[in-house]
Amino acid sequence: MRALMLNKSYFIETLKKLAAMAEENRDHLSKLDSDIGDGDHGINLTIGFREVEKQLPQLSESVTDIAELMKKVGMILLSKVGGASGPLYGSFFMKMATHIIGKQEVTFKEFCQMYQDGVEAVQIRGKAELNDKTMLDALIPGLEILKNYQEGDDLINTLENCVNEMKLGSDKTIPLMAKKGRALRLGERAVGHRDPGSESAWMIMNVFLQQLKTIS
Amino acid sequence: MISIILVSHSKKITDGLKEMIEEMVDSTGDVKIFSAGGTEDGRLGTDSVAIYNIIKQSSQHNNILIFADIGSAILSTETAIDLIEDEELKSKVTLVDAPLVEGAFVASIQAMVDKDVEGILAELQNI
Repeated sequence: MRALMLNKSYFIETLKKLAAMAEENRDHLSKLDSDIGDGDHGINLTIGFREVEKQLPQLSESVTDIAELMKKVGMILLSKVGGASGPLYGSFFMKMATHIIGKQEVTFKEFCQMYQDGVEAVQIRGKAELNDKTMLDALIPGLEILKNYQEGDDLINTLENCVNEMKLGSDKTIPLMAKKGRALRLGERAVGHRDPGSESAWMIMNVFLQQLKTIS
Repeated sequence: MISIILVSHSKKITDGLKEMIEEMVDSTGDVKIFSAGGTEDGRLGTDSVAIYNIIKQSSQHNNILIFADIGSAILSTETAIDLIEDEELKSKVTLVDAPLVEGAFVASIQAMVDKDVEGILAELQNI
């Protein structure tokens, strides 16, 4: 049996659903951010992905491969989002393109590599580590799962485990003091609040998971 | 020629600072000040692509110094610098580790008397 391939339309459909996810969770994410940040995380992501959705019909025609699609999406997020999540998620999507130049479809293994390249970009950009109370607290545990994926493993299970680990990672941000961002200034007052970036990170990967379920 | 790019979440901050510096520095001369605060649609925030576009516009200048205030102003500036593919242009750009207002002000004044970027950066150490 030929292994499942993720083609351009998988990514385009996922991006569309990311826009819907951002709209749905806008107030929830902004509420988390107003507890310990500047309260605009949900609004910023919505504005960013709304623009992605707006440009998708034209992008799906013009891009020559999946790499170019991801780069363009990253650039849109860089220019539209505004807050720290702009450069972070912008870099995440742009660097997903690193190892897939010229590809019209990718294997799940290659998708895992895309995720790894994205997470590494966030790490370089944000200069944060695990337990700093940032989106990396969700992204890194997810990466551990995808790094261990081997051909033959069930794809849905693997990505489901990834998202579950990300959620758990996000839960673990609640008791932490922050080492980055505005929450850093709050010291112990940040304790007891979930990091909004860790929440949006697992929600984003959950959209990739739900879209995978529709095609496998 | 030297470009000085001001980055903050607030456009009012960078517009005001540009106005203040230009009143004291002849902007038709060797120093060009750019305000890169806020987002394109007028919200508080920063825009890496807008900063990158100003850097590209300044490619004929000898040096490009960027001053950013807090949080993602720095993050967005670093991202903008990463977007530059032309290594020669990239080598002209410095994100200066100095307070936005004082730093940009001192650099602009110093640039009128000192053509050498090393001299300007040295003066910034005294803030």
